[in-house]
Amino acid sequence: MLRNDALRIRGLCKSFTRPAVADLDLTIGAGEFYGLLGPNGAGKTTTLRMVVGLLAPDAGSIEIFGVDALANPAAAKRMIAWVPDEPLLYDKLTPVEYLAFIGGLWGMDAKSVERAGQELLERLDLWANRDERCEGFSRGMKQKAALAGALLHDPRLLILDEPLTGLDAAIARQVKDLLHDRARAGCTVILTTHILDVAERLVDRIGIIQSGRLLTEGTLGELRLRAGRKDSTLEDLFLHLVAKPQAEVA
Amino acid sequence: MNTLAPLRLMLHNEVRLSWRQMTARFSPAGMTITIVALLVLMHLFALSLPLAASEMQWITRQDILAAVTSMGLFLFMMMVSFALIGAVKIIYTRDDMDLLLSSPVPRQAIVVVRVLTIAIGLFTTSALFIMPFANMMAVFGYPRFLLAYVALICLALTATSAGVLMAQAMFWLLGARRTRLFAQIFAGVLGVGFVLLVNMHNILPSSAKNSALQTLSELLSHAPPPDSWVWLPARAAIGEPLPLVIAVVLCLGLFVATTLGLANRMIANAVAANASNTVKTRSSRALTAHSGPMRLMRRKEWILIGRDPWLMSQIVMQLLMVVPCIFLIAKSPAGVHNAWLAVVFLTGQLAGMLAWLTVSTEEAPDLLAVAPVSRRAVLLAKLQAALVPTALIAALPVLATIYIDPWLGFTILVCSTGSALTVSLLHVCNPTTGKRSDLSWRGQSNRMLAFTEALLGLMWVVFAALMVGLGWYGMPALLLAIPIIYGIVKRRRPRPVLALAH
Repeated sequence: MLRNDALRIRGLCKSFTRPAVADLDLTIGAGEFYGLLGPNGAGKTTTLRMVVGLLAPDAGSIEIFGVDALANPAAAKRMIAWVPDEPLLYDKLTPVEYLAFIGGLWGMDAKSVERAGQELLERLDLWANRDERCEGFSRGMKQKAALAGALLHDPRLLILDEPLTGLDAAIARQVKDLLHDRARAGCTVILTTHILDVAERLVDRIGIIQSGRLLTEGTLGELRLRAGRKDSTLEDLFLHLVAKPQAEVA
Repeated sequence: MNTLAPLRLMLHNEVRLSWRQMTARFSPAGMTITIVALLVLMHLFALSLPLAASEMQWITRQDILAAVTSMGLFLFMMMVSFALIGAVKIIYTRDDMDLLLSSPVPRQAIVVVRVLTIAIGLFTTSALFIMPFANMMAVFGYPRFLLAYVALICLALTATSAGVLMAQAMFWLLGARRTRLFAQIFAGVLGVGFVLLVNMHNILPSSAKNSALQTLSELLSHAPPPDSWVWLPARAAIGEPLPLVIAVVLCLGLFVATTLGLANRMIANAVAANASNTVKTRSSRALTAHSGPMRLMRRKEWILIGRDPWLMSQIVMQLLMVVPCIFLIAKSPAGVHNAWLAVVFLTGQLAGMLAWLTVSTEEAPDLLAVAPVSRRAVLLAKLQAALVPTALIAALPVLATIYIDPWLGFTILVCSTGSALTVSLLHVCNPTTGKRSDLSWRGQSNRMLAFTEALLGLMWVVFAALMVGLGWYGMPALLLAIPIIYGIVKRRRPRPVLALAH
């Protein structure tokens, strides 16, 4: 593996009642903003949950910046952050306390937590709400607090599963801007989303997954070229690509 | 469209939802069989009343009215506690309120249906246990007793009106944030009071019982004559036509006046309760000045529990439910000395509740699972978070018993520690998934676990009793705990999410 690969997945398999991820190979370079797209039930979330250590794969390997995530999960976890669609929050804690808790779990010192926490809360317009319990927050505010928690320890690999679900335009814009800035600063970002316009504008490379397998991947230009649809939008390409295997099966 | 049609539809929907909630953890068939079996059993039990009735001719009418009044008061107390909780739920449970309020159905109708559902629940639950007696009396030649159905409906309607009035008064006096908590505490106190009153006969020592009986008979001798209005509810309950008609008119009048009169206020309160969610708190420095993940996780658990006064009130209520048993032990030949052994059971219960809260109601298990902290450390921190407050609370009675009788104190110290440790280990090794608000009903998600928890607590009480009774010779019994603890740890079912944390 190249030293600048952020994530390297080989032969990853996971079955529940039916195979959810089947022999998946995926490589994402350091500093890339990668969009993992696919229809519902394609295996995106299962793949990401295996990467962050929430699910044990049936077979295969996962390496994060060269660290075997299955053999040495603690070392891998220090480098990653996970933002699912449902915010991972404690209702009775304030954002400041929540960030302090996260900082402690990731072994940060109190001063860094305070500094980075304030910066993030200010950036996400939550500083005025820093002493309010999260239980009174709107969904968007909760998602922003969870994102602040994820970014607090300055992860090298940020994994987001549908982070924009249910957010209004203003909050979605804040989140997108923050992700964009982090990616430009060298953080590797993996994003799943059903809002294809967002993926089209934000990500460097796109992987389309279906039935637990990687259907195709590349930049938007490469995908257009491969599909022979020069001026297509990502939405058109996506629908064309995911419809193709079904047609073949039929 | 008939104006009553939406009312019927909503009422049908409420009853259907209540039934589905009841049968959520049992099959509908299983629930039906249980209810039928209970009814059959209650009717068999109620047979004793008509059989004894012929031998009770000597009882005066005034005595009967006094007995019916006191039973009615007990029942009313219990009903009011449930009605209060139900009325508070109407204010705080959003569920389909938005949908109903946006429909063209009048607001009063929505409130009437919601409140009527509470009354129906109170009536059916009480009828299950009380009406078999009326049925049996009717079968054996006293058909007038069937009018008790009407009296029970009146009682349910009055208790519901009282619950609604109390909920609204609390909302007005205490505001949106505190009403739910105080209503839960108040309803809990009423419930515990009911349990204590029902068990008063067993709780009171003979001397106190005799003097209480004497006081009662003195009170009865000064009681108003049987035709007085004071006995009107009791006379209605035993089926006297005129008092029954008066009771029906009064109770229905109160119910209609309360629900229709307060409908708009209740809806306004419901809207206010759902809008006033912001809770300002001074961020705790306990989490900022951290010194390692273990300490942080412990403190996080304590903050989460400490900031939930409703949860703390539930813990206290659950412990208070054991109080009647303590009185029973104190009154038994074992004496007051052995009543201290209840501390062993209570310590286990407290540790069990706290362990369940810390382990099974973790709000962000994925966060802990993706953090670079070992699963062992997470579970150990949660175990400590449950055991430290338990130890602090149990310290006072333990120190008191050491002062009273050093051997008793030593026994309680050893067995309380064992009880707290095994019960909390049980939860750590067999986590379930629940919400903090389900604390009182946590046994429903895993009945075997709840049964084992109670059994472990009792086991340690038995060990303590052996140690108190046999002295040092009782100590070998403690060895039995070793295979039990080993079994708990060995047969653990790790929570899937936490299981993957390394």
